[in-house]
Amino acid sequence: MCIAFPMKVKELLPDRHGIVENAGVERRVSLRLLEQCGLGDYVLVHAGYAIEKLSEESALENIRIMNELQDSLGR
Amino acid sequence: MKATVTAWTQILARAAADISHPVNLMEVCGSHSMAVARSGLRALLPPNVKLLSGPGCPVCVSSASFIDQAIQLSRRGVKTAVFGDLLKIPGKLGKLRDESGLLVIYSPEEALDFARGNPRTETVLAAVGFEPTAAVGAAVLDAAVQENLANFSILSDFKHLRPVLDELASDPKTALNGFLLPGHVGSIIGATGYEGLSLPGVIAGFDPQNILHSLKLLLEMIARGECSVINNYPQLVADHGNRTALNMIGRYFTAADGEWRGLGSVPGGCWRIRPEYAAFDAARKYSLESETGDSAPAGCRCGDILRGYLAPEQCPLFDTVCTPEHPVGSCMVSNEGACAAAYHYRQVAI
Ligand code: SF4
Repeated sequence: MCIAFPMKVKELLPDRHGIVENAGVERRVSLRLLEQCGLGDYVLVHAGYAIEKLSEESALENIRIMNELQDSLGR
Repeated sequence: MKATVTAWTQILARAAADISHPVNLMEVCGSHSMAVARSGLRALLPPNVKLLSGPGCPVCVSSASFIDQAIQLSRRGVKTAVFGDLLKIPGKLGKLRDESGLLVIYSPEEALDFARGNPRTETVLAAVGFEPTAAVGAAVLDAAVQENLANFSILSDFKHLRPVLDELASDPKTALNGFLLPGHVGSIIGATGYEGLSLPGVIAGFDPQNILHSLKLLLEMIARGECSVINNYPQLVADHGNRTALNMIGRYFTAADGEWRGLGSVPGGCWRIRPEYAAFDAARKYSLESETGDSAPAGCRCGDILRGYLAPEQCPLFDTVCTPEHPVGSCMVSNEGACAAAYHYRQVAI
């Protein structure tokens, strides 16, 4: 449950929320724990909240590693 | 820093060459436990170096009294929202999965939405987690306070990681020499949040190459007798962390003594809701009894494992009576638990 996943901000919604996406999976998350956040930013998502911003490069790297870890559990 | 298996064996051996004593390192992060177990990288460590899995899985250290309080709430007809991982964790009163009417959530926002949509139903978010989750809990509380959502409150078993690191660092029985520090907690508290530890530490990412490189840096610091914090994951961990999140935690929570399953009471080890927000603190609002003391199931060695005294494979119940399908202790429940990680990847060899 401590797992955090990088996702890309696709849409900004009212009330400091946004739609984020990774590998076709979309999620509505809160952006309230970030000072600021824009369209196209990569964010680290934990329990429905973006908890940190990431560069595209480290996000893609992180996505690959987390996918490997999850896949290895047969999910 | 990319290198092959043989090269890493040599690199680590060289880094440890000047250390004549046994070296005990500890990782304190569920995702590290998984990555380390999965990659089999322990096999590359020099013979005098051990990498232990510490209390890095928040579900595993959730206190029995917290589970019991959540059960009490649910039995009183309060809509109790919990993360799915908590369902199989034993309290003294039983397990949450045997209670009816729970709201199993992925995000605490779901509990908030439920309370908004059902103003006549008392709703409690019963949550565990380290700083990243505590920040989420604080943000949810912030929304509830601003909206004056009178039917919503939080039962907090959020954990403050830093005091437990200090405690582990000074435990003569584990005799640790250094920490592989968690990146996700670091993204909130920043590299500075780890400063002042009495042992060297390296903030590591989750890629086996990064973990190996971090171990090398850690061994080199130990060889030099140096005690500082190296941030080997600056892509995610800023020096000062996420200030918005830290402010949010500070506004609503205060560090208080509290129970870590297996470790006992840790001074300053839990995040409790500040008294000014007592109306949103389920423990106060419903006058929940809190009984301290662990209720480790018979034969379970989770406490010894979380302190680094034992490896999961040394528990007599491991992979015999205790499996992820039928977990005996909390360390086998969540995938990130030390026992579950060791179980899932028990046949991994490089
Ligand atoms: S293997 Fe099971 S019984 Fe043994 S310490 Fe781990 S969780 Fe407890």
